[in-house]
Amino acid sequence: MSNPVMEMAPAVTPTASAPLVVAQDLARTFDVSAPWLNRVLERKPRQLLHAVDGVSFEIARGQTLALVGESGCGKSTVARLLVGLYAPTRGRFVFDGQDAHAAYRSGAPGRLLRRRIQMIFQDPYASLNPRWRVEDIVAEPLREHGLLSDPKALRERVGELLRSVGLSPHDMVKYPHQFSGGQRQRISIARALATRPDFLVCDEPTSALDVSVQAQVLNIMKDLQRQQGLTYLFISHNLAVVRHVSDQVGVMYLGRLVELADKRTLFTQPRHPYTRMLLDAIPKLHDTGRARTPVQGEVPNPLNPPSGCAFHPRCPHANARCSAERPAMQTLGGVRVACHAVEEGRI
Amino acid sequence: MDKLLEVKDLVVEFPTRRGVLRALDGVSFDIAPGEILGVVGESGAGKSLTGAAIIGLLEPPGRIAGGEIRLQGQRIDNLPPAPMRRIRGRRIGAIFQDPLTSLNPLYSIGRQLTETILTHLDVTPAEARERAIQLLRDTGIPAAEERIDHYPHQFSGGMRQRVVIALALAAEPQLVVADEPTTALDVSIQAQIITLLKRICRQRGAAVMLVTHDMGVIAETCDRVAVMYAGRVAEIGPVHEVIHRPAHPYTAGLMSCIPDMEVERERLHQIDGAMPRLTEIPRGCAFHPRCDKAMLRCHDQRPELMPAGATRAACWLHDVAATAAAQEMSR
Repeated sequence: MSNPVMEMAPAVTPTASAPLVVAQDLARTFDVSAPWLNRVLERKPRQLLHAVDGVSFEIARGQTLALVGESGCGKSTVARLLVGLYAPTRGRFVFDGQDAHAAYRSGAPGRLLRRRIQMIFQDPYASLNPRWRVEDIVAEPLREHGLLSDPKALRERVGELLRSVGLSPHDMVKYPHQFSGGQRQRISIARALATRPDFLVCDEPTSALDVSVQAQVLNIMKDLQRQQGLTYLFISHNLAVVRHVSDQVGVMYLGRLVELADKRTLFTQPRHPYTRMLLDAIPKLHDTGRARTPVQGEVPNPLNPPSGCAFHPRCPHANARCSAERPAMQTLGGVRVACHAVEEGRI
Repeated sequence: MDKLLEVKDLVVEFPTRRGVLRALDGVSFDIAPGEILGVVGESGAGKSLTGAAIIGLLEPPGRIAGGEIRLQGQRIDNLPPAPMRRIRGRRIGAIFQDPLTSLNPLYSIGRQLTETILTHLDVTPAEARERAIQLLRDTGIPAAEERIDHYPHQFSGGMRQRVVIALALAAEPQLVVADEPTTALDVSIQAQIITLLKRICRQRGAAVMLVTHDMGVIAETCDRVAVMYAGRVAEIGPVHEVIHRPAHPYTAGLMSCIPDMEVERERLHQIDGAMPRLTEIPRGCAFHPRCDKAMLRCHDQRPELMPAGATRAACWLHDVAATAAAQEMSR
C-alpha cells in the first residue's frame, strides 16, 4: 500500500523493547485565581490548582495501565495531557522514544502523533455529533488526516471498523440518537480506531453504561487489544472493572500517584493505606448484609491540600512525620508506593 | 405480617403523539415495616418510575393508569395533591440521586430542615431547630451547631447527601424512597452513605425502598430485592437467594456481567442486545429475544411472578405444572 500510515500498522506481537509510553514527572497546574481587579481590590492572592503533580509511569506495548482514584484526583487531567489537549507545566511524555509535547507543538510530527494516539471519552451521548451520520463520524479522522479520500474506500473502511466493534455496516447511515448508550460507545471506539492508533487513552469508557452493556464494551476492548496489539491507558473509578482489564494499576490521590503495581499484587497485597481503603469500600456481592467500617473523611480540597502526605488526615496509620514530610515514590518489593508507614515497615 | 406498603398491578402510562407508552406494566410488590427492599435494573427498566409513582411525583404526562398503591392499607395512588403532600414528607421521605438539585441553594440547610419539621410536626421553632441539629449530628455532620446555618454550596457532595438524608428523615417517616442515593458519589463516600442510611433507618424503624443499579450496594444493604426488566418485576426474593441462586435468566445474566473482585476471568459474561425501547417491547416475555433458555411459549405468553425456589420469578422455566405435563408427555 502506498499510504505511509497503513504501512506503519502496529506490530501484532508486543516486543520486549522500550516501553511505548513513558510519563516522566508530569505535572499540570491551573491558575484559578480571582480576576485581576478582584485580586488588586480585595488583595486576593494568586491561586494555583495542582491538578497533576509529578506523575511518572511506563506502559509497555500491548499492555494496559489503569489509573484509579476518586473524582478530583487528576486522572482525567493525565489523560488530557497524554493526548495533547493540555500542555504539561512540568515533566515529559515520551511516546515511542520521542518527546510527545515537542511534537504536538510542531506541525507534521504532531499530526503523525495524533494519528497514533487516540482517545475514548466517558459520555457517549456528548462525544458524538448528533447532526452527523455514523459514517461521517467514523470517517472524520480518516478525512482529517488525509488517509483516505476516495468515497468508496472510505465507506468500505468505515464498514470494516463498525464490524470490528460488533456493529453492522448498515448502521452507517443512522444518526447517534438511533443507538443505545453501549452502541454509541462502540461508535466512539470505531472512530478512535480509524487511524490505526497504537495507543488509546480511555477516560471512564464504561461508567455511563449499564452493567450488561459494560460487559459487552469491555469484551470488545479486550478483543481489539489482542487482535491489534493496542496499548491502553484505562481510567476508571471502578476497581472491579480495572481488575478485569488492566495489567498494571496506578492509584492516584490528589494529583499524585500513591501506588503503582501490577494488577495481581495490587489486588492481593495492597500496600498504601488509600489503596486498602478503596478496596475495602467496594460493596462485595458475596457477603450479603456484612457490616463494614467505612473509612471516615472525604477527599480534601485540592486548592488547599494537607501538608506532608495528602492522605494523612484520613489515614489510620498517620504519625507526625506523615503530616510534615511528603513521602516520595519508592520501589519496595517490586511495588512503587509513596507512604512513610510502608517504608518504615509500620504496616 | 402487616404490610407497610403494597403495590399491586401498578401500570404507568405516557400518552404521546405516537400512542400510549406503557412504562410500568403490572408491577406488584410489598414492603414490611422496617424492611429494606432493593429495586435493581438497568436504565429504562422502570425502577425510578416506580419510586416516583409511590411518592406521587410522576412527571406529567405520565400517569397511573391502573393498579393501586396502599400505605398501611390506605390507598394513596388516587389522592388529590393536597393530602398527598401531607403524606409525602410526613409518612414517606424521599432521597434523590443528585444532592445538589434536591436542596434549595438559596436557603441555609437549617431553614430547609426546620421548615420541613414545622410543616409536618407539632413543635415550636426552637424545638424544630434543636431537632434539626440533632438530625445533622445523627447523620454524621461534624460541628452540626455551626453547619446548620451554612448553605448547600458550602458542603461537599457526601456531606450534602447526608443533609438530604436528614431532610428525608426530618418528619420521622415510615418509609423512605431512596432513588440512586449513592450514584453521584465517590466509592469511599458511597460506603459511608450506605452504612449511614442503613443504620439510621434501622434506628428509627423506617422501611426503605432503595432504587439502584449497583448490585453490590443491594447485596450489602437490603433484606429483599426486586429485579426489574422492561417495566415489570422479573424476580423478587430474599437478597441472598436472588444473588446466589437467581431463578430468572435475566437475573442470572445480570449477576454474571458484573466484574467480580474475587474471580478473574478472561472475558466477562455478556447478555447480548439491549433492553427494548418502550415502543417495541416484545410480545410474550419481554426478555425472550435476549434469553438463551427461551422456549416456544415465551414468544407469545407473558409469564407472571411464580414461586421459584426461595424467590418468585416471572419465567416459564418455573412453571411446575407445565414441566410436570411435559415430563408426562415424554414418558
